[in-house]
Amino acid sequence: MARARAGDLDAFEALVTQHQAGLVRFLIHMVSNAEEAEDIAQDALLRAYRALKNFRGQSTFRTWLYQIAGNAARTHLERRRGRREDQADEHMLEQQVGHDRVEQQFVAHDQVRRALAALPDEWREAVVLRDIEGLDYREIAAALDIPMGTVESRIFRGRQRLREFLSGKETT
Amino acid sequence: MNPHCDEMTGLIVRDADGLLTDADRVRLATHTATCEACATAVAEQREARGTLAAMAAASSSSAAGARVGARVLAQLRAEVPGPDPVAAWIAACDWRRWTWRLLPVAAALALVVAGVSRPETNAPAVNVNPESTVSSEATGTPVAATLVTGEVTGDQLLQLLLSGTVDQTVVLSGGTQ
Repeated sequence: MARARAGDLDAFEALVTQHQAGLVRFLIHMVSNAEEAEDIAQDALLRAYRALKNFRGQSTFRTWLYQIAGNAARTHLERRRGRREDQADEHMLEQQVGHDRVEQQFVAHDQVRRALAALPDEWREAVVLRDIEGLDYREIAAALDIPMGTVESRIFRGRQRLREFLSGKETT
Repeated sequence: MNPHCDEMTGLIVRDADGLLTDADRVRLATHTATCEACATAVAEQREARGTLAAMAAASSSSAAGARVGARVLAQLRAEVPGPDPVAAWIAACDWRRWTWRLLPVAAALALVVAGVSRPETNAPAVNVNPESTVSSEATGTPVAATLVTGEVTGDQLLQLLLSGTVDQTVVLSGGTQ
């Protein structure tokens, strides 16, 4: 870590290799699009390298990296929603056709991914970090900068809503 | 639902992860024995957790991750600046670097000089004009000078001196004694 912080690319490569798969998987579940997830992951890793000298080591590198990626994913989702709202205002008819196409692209192919994608961002982020990426509660609290109780609450509600989707009580 | 249900949320979530201590497990079991809503929540959390864990195990993003990692490192390596030309020149002029590099050259020069300084029996041929040369036999006096024509170069003359072929040489430019 010290070598990576000093700008040693070989040392940073070792960190990238260690976290690249999990990072992309987390982002795929966050934005429900593999291509966009890869772009965000790339951006997050580049940002991490450039900000590495400011990394104090108060949390693990993984937690810090997921924090950067999570922020980037939320910004991306907000922009995407903004674009879709703009399209709705300007092209109501086109939007209806385009919306279906976009939805097909965004939602996951299988039922679980579809349900996961339908969760509120904050709940989905907590659930994915815990149940897909296996971060512990303390790491999630650090990555999302929220109290431990809020982490538990988001995971609880996220899992509950997910199950409701899967059992047909909620529709996507 | 009862007033204690909110306090159970953390326990119910961690129960699904299998992270409860024995004391917390007893506490949760005691609560769910009388609270149907929380008992249902425990079952739902476990089910959702199991579903997600199965999906996580089945989903692989290693290829995508490797692709991203390669792109990131390629970009970063391309951004790393090359050596500063000014610094490279300063480094090239550093006498300490040259000292060691020139050591073999210095050693070779020392050998050459040592070879030249060694007395030689076969002195190089020098074009000496016999008419302008005064030998010790002819004069009966020690050779005070050897008159050498202008055709002898300085290097040849130096070699003659060093090799001991003549005791003393005086070069009279263009004349006789």
